[in-house]
Amino acid sequence: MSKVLRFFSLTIFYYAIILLLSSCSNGKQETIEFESKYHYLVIPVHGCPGCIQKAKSHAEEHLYSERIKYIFTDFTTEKDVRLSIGSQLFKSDRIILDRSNQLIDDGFTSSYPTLVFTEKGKLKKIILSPDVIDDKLKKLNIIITR
Amino acid sequence: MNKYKHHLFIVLTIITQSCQNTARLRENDQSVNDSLTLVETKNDLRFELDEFTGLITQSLQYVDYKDSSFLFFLNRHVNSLYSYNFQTKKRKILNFKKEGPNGVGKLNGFYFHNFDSIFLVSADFYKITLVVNPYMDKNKIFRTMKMTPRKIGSNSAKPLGFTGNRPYFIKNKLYILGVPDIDPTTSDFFNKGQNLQIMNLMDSTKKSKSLFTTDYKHTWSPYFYDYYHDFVRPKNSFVYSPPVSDSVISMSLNEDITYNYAGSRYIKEIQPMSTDFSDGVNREAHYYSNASYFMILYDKYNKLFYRFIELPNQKAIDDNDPRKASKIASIIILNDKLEKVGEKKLAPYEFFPIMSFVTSEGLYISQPLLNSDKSGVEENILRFVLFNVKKNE
Repeated sequence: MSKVLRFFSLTIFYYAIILLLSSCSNGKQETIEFESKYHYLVIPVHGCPGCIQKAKSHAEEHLYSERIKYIFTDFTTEKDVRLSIGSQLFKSDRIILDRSNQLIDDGFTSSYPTLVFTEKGKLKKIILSPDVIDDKLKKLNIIITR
Repeated sequence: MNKYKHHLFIVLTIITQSCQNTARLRENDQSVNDSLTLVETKNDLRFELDEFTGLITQSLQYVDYKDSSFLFFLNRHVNSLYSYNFQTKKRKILNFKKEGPNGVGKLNGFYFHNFDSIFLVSADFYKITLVVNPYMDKNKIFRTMKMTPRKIGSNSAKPLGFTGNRPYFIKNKLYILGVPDIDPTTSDFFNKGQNLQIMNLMDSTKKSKSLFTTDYKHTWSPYFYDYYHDFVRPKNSFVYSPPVSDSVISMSLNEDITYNYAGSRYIKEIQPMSTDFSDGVNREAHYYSNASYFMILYDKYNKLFYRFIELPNQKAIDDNDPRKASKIASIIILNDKLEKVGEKKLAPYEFFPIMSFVTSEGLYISQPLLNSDKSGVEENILRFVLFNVKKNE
């Protein structure tokens, strides 16, 4: 439980500011579509910092995996994303930026990463809250490195 | 400071018993003196940011120092403390290593005491570092203070260091707010949790206190654990803003405690969590659907306090609008006796109220600048809008 506390005690500031401009989104954004051959980790940049750090570390470790992509959403500026994840990760073709916060509009949580994958032809979503993120990422590692 | 554009910056007691009856206090809100309000002016401050600095910081501090004034700004991305001198218009940057002999950890907060002494907070490392003469001697680390051991069930607490709950160094003692390492769903959180640590740097003694009000007998989602405070120098006392209580707490340096009603007119009740705490989605929903008090700032120029509260964005919740996460800030104005004298609700979606500070000109609140085609915000301009206190007509 203490882990939960540590995850959250830094979180509150972000909530006051997120989605500031979701009503000002530009029209250049391509629609984000999920392909069945990939797993996706949807990462809200201003969400739970501990969870985001874990998701970011996961992206760094599996940047060359051909079975996973990382979608960053819920950010105020692209500079926020670059500063949060680093320039190298930012430039990777494994990274997708949800510039118009489309996924948040579609109901994805802005607090935690969400794992998205296709199972038996249906899209499945698992919210990686602090209680489950370690376990789920371990299982994800096994799947994408098979 | 009207329409300034500054180049280069950043680039910038235990209340063991809450004796007051909350319901009664809210009824009293009807008769509260509402003589003052905050008015948004057309004046602002703008700082051009460097490539390493984003629009958001968890920790900033405005300081009057001798004949100058400064804004300090933590850049967590590069573990650096930026400062801007309003008179000379010059900036300085102190860079800190996270690890190694002079490592200070990953910084999330700081407290500027004077140019000889700056305290750095690394919550994840449970570490507070005192840096001596940082502008004279290149990052000479004088003392590193480790918080109490992280053994669960002891009185350890993760230190806070944001704008509204940074440590304060007063008369040789460091006052540190924190979040106890105790399961918040158990009675121990309220009964044993100590969220204020007082470290005497002269004799190296330490004591812990709980400032939790009786509201904390109930279970709250973690967003409600972080207390906020400010130090009121003319009175040599602290004032605390508990996230779930209508009261603010005043504590003298002798640790005598009093409290005053300072609730928002816009809320009826802040409800404890009644759903399964172990589910993160429930915790999130609890936070969205309830108001929470946060920062309190003392305005020494006008002898007023500004207590901030985040209100649920009810319309967005009802509409299942994704912007439900953007709670709406309201600012409660208290006089020198901590009596409520007004309240101003801010427009939704426009401000970053956690990035606020008080100068002789008034209260500055961060408001990003829209870019020319209004498709987003200027990512390299940090902007603060000035609010002034006015008498209600």
